Amino acid sequence: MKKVGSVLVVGGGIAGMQASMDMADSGYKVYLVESTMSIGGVMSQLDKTFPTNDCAICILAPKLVATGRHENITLLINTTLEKITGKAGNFTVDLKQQSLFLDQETCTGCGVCAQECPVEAIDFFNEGLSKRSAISVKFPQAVPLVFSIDQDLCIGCGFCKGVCKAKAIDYTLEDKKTTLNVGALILAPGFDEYDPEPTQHYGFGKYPNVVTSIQFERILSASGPHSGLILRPSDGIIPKKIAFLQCVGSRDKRHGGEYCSSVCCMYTAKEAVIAKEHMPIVQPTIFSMDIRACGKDFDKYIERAQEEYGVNYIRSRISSIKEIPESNNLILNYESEDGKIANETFNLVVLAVGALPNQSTKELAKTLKIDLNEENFCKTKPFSPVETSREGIYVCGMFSEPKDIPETVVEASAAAGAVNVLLSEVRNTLIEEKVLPKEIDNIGKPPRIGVFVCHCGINIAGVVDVPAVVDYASRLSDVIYAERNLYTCSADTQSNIKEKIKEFNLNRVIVASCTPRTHEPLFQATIREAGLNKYLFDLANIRDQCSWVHMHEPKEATEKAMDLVRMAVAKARKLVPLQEQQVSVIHKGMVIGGGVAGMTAALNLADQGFEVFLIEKSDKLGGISNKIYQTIENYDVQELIVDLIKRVNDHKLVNVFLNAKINSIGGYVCNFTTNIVFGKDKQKKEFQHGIIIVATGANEYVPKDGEFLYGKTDKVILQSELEKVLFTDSEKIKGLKTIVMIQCVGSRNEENPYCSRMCCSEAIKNAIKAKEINPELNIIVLFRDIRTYGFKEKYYNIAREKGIVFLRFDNKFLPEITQNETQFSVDVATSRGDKITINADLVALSAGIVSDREGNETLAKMLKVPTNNEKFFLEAHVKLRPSDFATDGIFLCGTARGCATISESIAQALSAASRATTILSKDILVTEGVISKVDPALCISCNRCADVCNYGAVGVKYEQGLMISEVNPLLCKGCGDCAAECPAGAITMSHFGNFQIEPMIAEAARVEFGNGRPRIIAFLCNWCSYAGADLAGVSRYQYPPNVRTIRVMCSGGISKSFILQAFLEGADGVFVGGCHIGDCHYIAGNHDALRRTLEIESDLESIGINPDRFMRKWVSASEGKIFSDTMTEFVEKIKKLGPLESGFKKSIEIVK
Amino acid sequence: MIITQQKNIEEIYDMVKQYSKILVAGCDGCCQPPRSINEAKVLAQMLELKARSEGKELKWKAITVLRQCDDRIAATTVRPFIEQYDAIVSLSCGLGIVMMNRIFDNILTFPAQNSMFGGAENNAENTFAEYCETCGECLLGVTGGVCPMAGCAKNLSNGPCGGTVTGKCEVGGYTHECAWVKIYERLKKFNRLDLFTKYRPPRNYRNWSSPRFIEINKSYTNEEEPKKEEK
Amino acid sequence: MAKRPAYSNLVKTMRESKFLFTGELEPKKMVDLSSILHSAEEMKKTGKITAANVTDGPQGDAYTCSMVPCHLVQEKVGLETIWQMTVRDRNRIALFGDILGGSILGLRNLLALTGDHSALGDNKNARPVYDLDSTQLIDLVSKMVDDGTDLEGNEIEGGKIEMNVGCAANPNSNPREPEILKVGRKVEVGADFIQTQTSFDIDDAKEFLKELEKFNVPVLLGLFPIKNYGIAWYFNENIPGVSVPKDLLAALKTAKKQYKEDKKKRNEAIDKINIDFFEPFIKEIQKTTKAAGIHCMAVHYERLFEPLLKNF
Repeated sequence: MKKVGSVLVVGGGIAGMQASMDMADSGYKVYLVESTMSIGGVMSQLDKTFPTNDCAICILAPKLVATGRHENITLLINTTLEKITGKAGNFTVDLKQQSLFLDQETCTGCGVCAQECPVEAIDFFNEGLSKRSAISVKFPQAVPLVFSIDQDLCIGCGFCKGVCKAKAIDYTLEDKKTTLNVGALILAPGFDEYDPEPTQHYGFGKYPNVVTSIQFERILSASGPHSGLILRPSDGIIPKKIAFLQCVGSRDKRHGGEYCSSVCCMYTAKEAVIAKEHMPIVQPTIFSMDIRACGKDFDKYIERAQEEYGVNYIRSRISSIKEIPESNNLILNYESEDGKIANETFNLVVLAVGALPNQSTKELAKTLKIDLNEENFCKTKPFSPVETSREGIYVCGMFSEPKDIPETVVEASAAAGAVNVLLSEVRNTLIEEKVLPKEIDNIGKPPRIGVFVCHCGINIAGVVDVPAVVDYASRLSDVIYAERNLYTCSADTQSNIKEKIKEFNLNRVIVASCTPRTHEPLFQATIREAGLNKYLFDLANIRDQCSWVHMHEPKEATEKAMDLVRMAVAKARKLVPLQEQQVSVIHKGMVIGGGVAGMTAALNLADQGFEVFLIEKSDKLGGISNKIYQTIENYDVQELIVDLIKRVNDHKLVNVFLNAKINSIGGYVCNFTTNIVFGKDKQKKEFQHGIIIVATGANEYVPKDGEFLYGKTDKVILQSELEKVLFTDSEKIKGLKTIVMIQCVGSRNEENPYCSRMCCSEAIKNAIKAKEINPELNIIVLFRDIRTYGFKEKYYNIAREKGIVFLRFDNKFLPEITQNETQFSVDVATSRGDKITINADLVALSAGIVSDREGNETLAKMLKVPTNNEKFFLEAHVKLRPSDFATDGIFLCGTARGCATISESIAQALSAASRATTILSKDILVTEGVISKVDPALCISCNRCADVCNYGAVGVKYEQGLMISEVNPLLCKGCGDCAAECPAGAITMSHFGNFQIEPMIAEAARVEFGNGRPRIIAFLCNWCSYAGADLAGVSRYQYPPNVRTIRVMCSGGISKSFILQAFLEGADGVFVGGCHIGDCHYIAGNHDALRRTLEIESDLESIGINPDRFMRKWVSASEGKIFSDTMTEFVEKIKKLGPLESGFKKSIEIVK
Repeated sequence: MIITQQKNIEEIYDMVKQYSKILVAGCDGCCQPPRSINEAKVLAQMLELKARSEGKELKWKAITVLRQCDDRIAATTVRPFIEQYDAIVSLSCGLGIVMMNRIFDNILTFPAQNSMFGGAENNAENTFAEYCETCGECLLGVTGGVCPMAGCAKNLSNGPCGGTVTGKCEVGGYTHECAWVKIYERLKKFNRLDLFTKYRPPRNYRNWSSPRFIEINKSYTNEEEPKKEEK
Repeated sequence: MAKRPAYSNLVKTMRESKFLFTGELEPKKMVDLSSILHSAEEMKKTGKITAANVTDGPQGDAYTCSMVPCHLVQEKVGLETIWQMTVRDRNRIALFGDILGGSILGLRNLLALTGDHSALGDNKNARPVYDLDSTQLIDLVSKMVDDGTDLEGNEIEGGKIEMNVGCAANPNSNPREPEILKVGRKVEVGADFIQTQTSFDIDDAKEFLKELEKFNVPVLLGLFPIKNYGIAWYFNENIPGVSVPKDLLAALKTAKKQYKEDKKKRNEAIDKINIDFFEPFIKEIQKTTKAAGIHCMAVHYERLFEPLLKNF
């Protein structure tokens, strides 16, 4: 049977999106099937994410847009899978799309229908906390942005059809069935939260002030029901004392599941911290059994929560909750750690609900004929973590086991990695490449601008006098043609634009409509089809940032729309065509590190047909896993390693170098050159490759200086040594009476302030094994928290059932071992306050995982990639880019990134390989068009650009006798920070350069039109503040029409001169908006913005400008309300100050 | 490099407020932080705003010079514009200001900066620090490469003084390193405490007092040939 | 180097191996020196004080020059003085001239100091001089005394001056080694005696004195009886490296609280605290070290000398 080069991805959450993007980027046609109305999944509901407190929607929204507009991805919303036939490589799938009652292609997402809908129904997105209409969109940033009618709520009044100018609504539309032919399936259907309502668990559903964690997440969100204020449901009063209850529906056979849901400990800590940040008056208390902070940098987060935010942890499982009816406060009864019964009153209780497989996934499994495990999650094996029981069907995310976002993203890429191998021979067979006409050469020709103004139904035209704007635009110089459209984004308008370009010989196009963040790519594609370079387009945002936010001031809104069009024309005059450079890719990879992760990654690439150089520093492959015999699930690790080593050695595309040392790595993505010395005889070798995977692994911690008497007596051994005895010399165990295990040796202390993640399972595995060998054996595990996350919890339960004793100790008093002639014993102070002496025969130390500090540091310097404090490598984004470095073309996996089990390392290896495949599968890599450029004639070689660049993309190079700064177009992300920093004016940010922004500033401040005073110019970064301003529009938060926004990619790209020029041109106030510190889309561009604006601020007074006329504020993409409030407040302030004296205009002349 | 700090705008403005057309000149030389054309432009914009706040008109042009302290380069770059302006504001170090005033005899060049010291950038700390005082009598050979003239607040030749506490200096509130403790540590590291112990006699301050000249490329005539001292 | 003659009573007494005491006088911004003379008289009265230091702009403050009070104390009170001289305010020309003048006035002890930086004082924008450092000042004095010349070898009319020169050392220094090496340098160029910074830690002081033994120069250990809680607190907070022992600090605080109104009782209590702390301290030093004596920096606190020193 012939294989098919397409993939069906089920589920549009973060996992489904990641898998789709990876597959689509690797040359496969992707169908992304989502059962709801928008992709985004649970993450789109989150307020912030741990451990970085990033704004969830800020980091997710760009990913939504990228998935939605990917040319190789077809989104199928409101769709479910009905039937499947065929085999791996060639499946036939039947799908059913439930009717939306409107035409998805025609709907422009303008939202008039929802406003007119008379039925107020419940909004599920806000978890039942606010209202929405029967016809609705899932959330403001939804992709695709189409509305749908909820059949259960619709009363059939017909209002919406009446108001829909696009004529998209059609009540007669029926469900649609589709049949697709795909090579593989990736399942990412997600999970359900445990619902405490049916059983009124902890009074949920009975007491109004008991909410679930996901409801609380919405309460916290700036775009949530209370705009970020924490108000409790019963009376809308701020709850001072909030109790968070862990393990609701987790680790509980009676409610929910027996397993651990893995994420609740951390999201609860995050919710407590954010609550405290939003309202310092809040006192959060968290009731938990164990604190399972076993991810990278998670323990530090918990520590900060406790120390900096005063979050109170009580180790207890709450037995019951009672409500005080008069106050709706809640009394919690619990047994405190010292065994006393206590009760305490709280104003609000948040239940940290666990994750459950949902009903639809059970049906999905039945349809697909894949096995589920006893908990009804998808069954997988530890060494093939993304494979289901049916070949050709892969799984990722929560469906296989509860896990948090980074692991989910890793698995999504890993699933894609697995598919890559299956379908590599049919790669690039089903994707269509668009044939585009040759670009018209416009260089040197005077601008001929066409302006298309959108009515957006009545969204714009209802407020703004569109004909007047068109008339005004047509009178601007260089504007050759202007027209208005009912919907400029509709398909017929696209062909109209193309015709007009030809008819009027237009060489610049402006659309005045909605926001460039969603619609720019569409119009760019249109003008490109007409032969114009896509960068000769600009968009005036007269809807989200004009008609929607000035609904009651039509005159002022019309003036503002004219201004915005005039500003866009000013910029358009200066637009230049940008060429995206093409670089050919060397289809080879280098993998550094020959452990399980490195070998898996190397084999994955080689199996796809890419040559791989596998570099191992020791004389043996296998890494740290050589010390491991079995996984906790009883899978044979040695067998795995032997198999991997054999496959690596036999594979003709894998070149293994043992005893290898890297001398140098040069080049960049697509084209690296590496020099190594390898083998016992120190041979030299140089090779070229397109990507690098870092899989350098980590080491087992070795206790030092006689810690726990290790090394001083043979009665104290490491878990790995015990494991060796258990599996190779079990007779020794039979003679023993008591084994004591001490957890967290070399972990969670000052030197290594992190959890090593696997030691708890390791100890439990060995304990169970020892007990099997010698049932009489007493085993006592001394621990701080037992961190058997996910299904590993099962083995914790088995261990306890087998009589293994677990004693918690206080980390202030570490267990002490005494050895003399008469006794060998362990003294431990338990958390209950008892002091116990245990006579033992053997002590096993659960030693943690430590990085190879020196080795990693050396390699990090060579690769110019960062590491964290403990010298584990630091990924590009801890949440959404766990396998990538910020520098393109370099990826990471395994314990080099942080502590991970073998199963997790394998998933990470597949993930890194999949990410690498997105590059290796292409013949040519096309660079971004919007990047910085250096004029070597002006460069003074000061290297300030390199100081501010977070991607190593720019810096002074010495080549061919010249020392000049250079931008690597492959690495540049186009933030413009270097251009703003360059003292010599040698760097220009393309598309947002000085010569484009300065005319906009001039036009923005012009005051000939009406009484536009005060006039405020706002510079907003594309990713957060501009998005926040758009959200204010979407949410119709009104603010005074005095603000003219100028979009830049990053606040770091705003030079001081922009701000001064704004004042010089006569602006009465200047606003700079960027992402919150820590949230920058370009890692830390806003840090530079902060520095520059602080410098400007400090001078304003002395140059005769009231510093109150300048404002800097970080506004996130979810803070529409905050944006509108800020603008209102700022305009009021400037009004009080009065106009900046009306200045004279002058032309600025700069000569070098 | 010459480390500079921009004067506050009011001070600069006071110097040039009587002029209506000014040339603002950056310097691409060794001035740190770099003060090139964009800094010149920002300064000019600020001056214009300041002028406007006082109801005056100020026209300006921003330029930059490869090195203002090099008379030939500065003359070549600046001369074409000089006619149209009433005054020059320079963003170079003091050397540049002096040279510009010497080259362009008919127009005043005003400093926009205070020249702080000859220093180098400490990238890890994002600071510029003074490591050499150009004292004319280099001690670095006996001090382990740490300059006590630049590093010690009291320019001690035989430190440390009683004002050092755990390696920190009394000047600046015990935050700066004591150069002499640093010297001690360096010399100890190389087992050269003999250099530390040695008494260094009073310095020759003639090498460190203004004005200083050094003759270069001198063409000698036969008569001027220096005679060897006879012993 | 060979020992130069003892020109002053102080150095003479030191060389006789008598355990001696010196006091300290601090002229401030003043036109009338009667309070200084009064203090000197009080010291003289005890009969235990061999000489008194007169400070030269301590903490970098601009005060009355030290030469004049030195002269007047010797002339009017008959108490020998140790003329403190910092290199902060004078270049080698002024230093030379002043020393020459002082010697004419009969000043026989000079303590060569670097001096607290002017940035610490009450005229912070002053340009500090530091033409010489304290070691070089000792060198200058040595040349004036031993050779009868200035630093360049220009001869003094009438020959050599008669003066002994001392240097400072800091028992609180950390690291310790460069401090010791530095003292070595000073001794090498001609320091006749050493007066140390104040110490509150007996073990530290003993260890430090032990290390100074190798230079074979008389050492006066500095002690600082504390007149009130405020001074102690200031010391603790503002002079890093010196910490007043917690018990002493607490006792002073209690005394301050206990006798808030009654100044006399408060003074009595404070004196007792000081005596209880320093008397055993001094005895221990006398008994167990080779220190030549104690430099008691009880500035403006002369009433303590009588009760504190009565047992010595």
